Amino acid sequence: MSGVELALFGFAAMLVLIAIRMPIALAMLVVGAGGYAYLSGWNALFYYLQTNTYRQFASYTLSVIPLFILMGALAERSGMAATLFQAAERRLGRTRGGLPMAVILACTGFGAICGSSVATTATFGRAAMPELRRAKVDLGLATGTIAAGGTLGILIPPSVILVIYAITAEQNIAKLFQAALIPGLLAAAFYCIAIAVVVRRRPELAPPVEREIARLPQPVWARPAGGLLALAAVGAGYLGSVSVTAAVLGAIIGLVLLVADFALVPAAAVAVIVVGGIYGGVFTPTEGAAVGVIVMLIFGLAQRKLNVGNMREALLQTAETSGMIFLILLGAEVFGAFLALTRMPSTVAEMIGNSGMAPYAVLVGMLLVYIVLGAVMDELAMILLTLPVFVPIVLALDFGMSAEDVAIWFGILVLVVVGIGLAAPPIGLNVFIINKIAGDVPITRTYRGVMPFVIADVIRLALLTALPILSLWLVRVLN
Amino acid sequence: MEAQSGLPGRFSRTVETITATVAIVGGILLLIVAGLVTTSVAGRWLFSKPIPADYEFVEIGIGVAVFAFLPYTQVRSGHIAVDTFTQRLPARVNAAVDAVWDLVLAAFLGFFAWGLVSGAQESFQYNETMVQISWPIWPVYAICAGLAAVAFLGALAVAVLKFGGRA
Amino acid sequence: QESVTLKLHHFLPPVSNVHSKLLEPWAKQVAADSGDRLKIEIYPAMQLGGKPPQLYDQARNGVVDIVWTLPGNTPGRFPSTEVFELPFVPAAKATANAPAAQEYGEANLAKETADVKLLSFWAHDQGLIHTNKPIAKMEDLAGLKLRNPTRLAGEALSALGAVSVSMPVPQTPEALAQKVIDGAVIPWEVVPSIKVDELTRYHTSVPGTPTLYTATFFLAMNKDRYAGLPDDLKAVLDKNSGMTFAKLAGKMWDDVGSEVAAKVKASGKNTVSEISEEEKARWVEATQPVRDKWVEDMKGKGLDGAALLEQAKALISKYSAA
Ligand code: NA
Ligand code: NA
Repeated sequence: MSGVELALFGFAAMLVLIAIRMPIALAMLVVGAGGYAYLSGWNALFYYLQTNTYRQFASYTLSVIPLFILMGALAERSGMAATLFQAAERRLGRTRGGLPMAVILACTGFGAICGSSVATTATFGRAAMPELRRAKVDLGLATGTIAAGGTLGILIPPSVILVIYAITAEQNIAKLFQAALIPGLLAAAFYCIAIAVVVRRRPELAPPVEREIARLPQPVWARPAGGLLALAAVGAGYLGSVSVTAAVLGAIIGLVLLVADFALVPAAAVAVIVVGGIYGGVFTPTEGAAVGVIVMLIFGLAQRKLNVGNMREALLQTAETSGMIFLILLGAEVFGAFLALTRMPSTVAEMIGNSGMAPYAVLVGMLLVYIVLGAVMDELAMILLTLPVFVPIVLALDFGMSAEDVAIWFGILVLVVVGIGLAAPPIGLNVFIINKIAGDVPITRTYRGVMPFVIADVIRLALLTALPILSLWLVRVLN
Repeated sequence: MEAQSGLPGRFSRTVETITATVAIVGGILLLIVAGLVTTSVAGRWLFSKPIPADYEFVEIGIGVAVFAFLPYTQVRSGHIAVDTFTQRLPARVNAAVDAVWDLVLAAFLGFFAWGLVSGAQESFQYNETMVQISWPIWPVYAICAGLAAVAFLGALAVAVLKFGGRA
Repeated sequence: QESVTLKLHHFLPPVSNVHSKLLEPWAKQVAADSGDRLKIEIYPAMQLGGKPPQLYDQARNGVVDIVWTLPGNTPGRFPSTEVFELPFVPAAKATANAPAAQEYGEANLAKETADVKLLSFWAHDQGLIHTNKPIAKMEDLAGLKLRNPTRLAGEALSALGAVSVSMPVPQTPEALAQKVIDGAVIPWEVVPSIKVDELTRYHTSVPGTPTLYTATFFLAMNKDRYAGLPDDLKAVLDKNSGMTFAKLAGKMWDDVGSEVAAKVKASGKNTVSEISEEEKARWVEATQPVRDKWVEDMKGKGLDGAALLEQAKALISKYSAA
């Protein structure tokens, strides 16, 4: 068997095993390990896997996954998530599809602090799913919304996928983040349009909110505490005992406490601290996940919403979801190593690169490869295997712009196809995660629910491919 | 949803209690990691004193925590599987198929446990340390080996229960 | 006649200098010298699985045939290599450090690397301090948050008054862009790959040899795989490894280094400067405790650190003069 044939056989074997109920992580592990042993020998497989579990789990980059899941679980247990969605309902409840749209907007905001699509999906699976259920939103639409909204975790900067792309293509991560902003917001807009179109055609999917929404409770400590904090921050900043960033941050939090919708203050404060910390240069997005957990914990305890009982539940939820995700990531790593050994990804990539087609045809060919691969394999493994071949080819093509512009634009297109792969059936990590967290939704229903978003994604991909300026404009303005 | 137990009977309750306890310990470790990073960030920002090797402690903490989570995920049947094509089959057949997969997973977990034991031995023998500080790294492997062994036993227990038609 | 394909695994992307300007030309040379009978397939970016710290063991256990890795990836395991990473020990040029390391390795690394066939051991050129504010004297470093490249370089930075921050390479450009850290300490060769020239403005080095820091590298092969090669292919590999490879590597770092330095200087936005000789003397003195502590630490490992240090210094001056 040639390498390409062996890889295709591997994909087929994996899909068959998945169809007969083998857990997806295990199917990737079994086929990956089997193929690895076939190509490199049992000895090689044996030592490759020896301590690889620990090395894969002990990943600094991936540490955001359990931390954000824990943050989401704490947000749910402390009532913060429900409060947020109540507020959203009060404003959007009368609009058809208002609540799913609110979820998309919340994912967009969350995407500004979390760089992982998986973590965003799991967080909103925990925090938003109960609310969507309560509002009687169709379960297919609800899970589809969260699966698609989860991709905003990578589409809106910061983004783990862009960090990997920046390293692989040796590009400036700051410029890539700038380039991703407009396409990311475009994605959120497209998702909202997708929801609007779906509920217009089938209004029964998202019934209007009927019940009386309770007024939000007002904690007594918020106003005085806010005033004091703002004064203290300004004073300390004036005297120079804290940095300007700290003073401004403290003042903002204080003012928010002083004037805002009280019940939203804790959620807003968590967001301000994490977003402000990341964009104010206090910590990196990876560190932001840890800070978010601690801030959330402090607010939950201060409000007496968190106790031993529900913290235990939050930890167990985090454990179950994280265990599931990390086993999939392990399986994907082993399957990816097997694919690398077959040299199938590089063979196909070289074929397209050396085909002598026009630059745009080569580019479209690559994107199609990504969409096909993305449907049947893990996205992280996919880009790690293909980017090393694709990037030099793309940079050598003449699109009438500088190599850096091409690299940035291609990075954004890769980001979009990764997003599609995460949400698109049959092997879509986001779909699996939300489906597992929802618990009682048949996977085919989620598949159907996510399809409008996938269609919106494909249209957006076409738009971004045709108009590089959408990705490059902001980079040019800011540099 | 959380209150419902996947596995009835005394044996299954014991299995679930043990794995849940291990998972909680992992969760507490996760909280400690979060606290450590927050402290390091605050120290770096306010006093120019980050915690040395903070990112390595994050890696170690997350690695061990994930191992502590695995048995619980396994016992809760938390791994994602597609049941679309097998819905029409009798429940007993599906349970038996699932039990076979549990055994396959158990084989992998058992192998991982063994691999980590030998990894711990080698790491000890080679005096391997953390990158930024000279603390030995072998105890981390040893702990993960133990947790992988718990996951292995958990997977076996689940398979036994499913074969017995109790799950 | 038998032909052999060897898998070479490493963690850098294929656009990196190490992949495209060192390993690929080297593999081509080996193929040419063997009449295309000894082929080296290079797998970049950890494609064959695992994480960088596992590379050495992958070669040892035969998961792959050859690896390019850093001894610093598995700290504690190769204490004798650390002498080159001490502050103000290595030369400014890689063309001096690399052969010095190779010769030092032949004399001292047999025991620590007994479980692989060590094809080559070398070190890169001078590392610079890349920051967002100018550095002219030690006091300018006070409180600056600098990402350290190695533990020992970190100790040196702390000794000089900077805040030594540890973080993985992928996080570094992001942290620089967001100004979470004030700078990074790396050689010129790495600068364009993580865009440190766009993320910082001042690039400060110390004049001449010895320089602030370097890091060391291994090219290691599975022992059985090497032993199993036909004699003529073994000879081809021997001819292309050891000192030959170290010199090739040293030249790559120096060539790319001066190329990058020239480009950064020409950009007009960046300032490239050296501290004065008098200032350097203060830095050398301030970092003396780091070297003393290392010599002391080696006692606990049954190594004569002072003798190793002398030997390394002697080799560095020998190849600096050459
Ligand atoms: Na994001
Ligand atoms: Na996919």
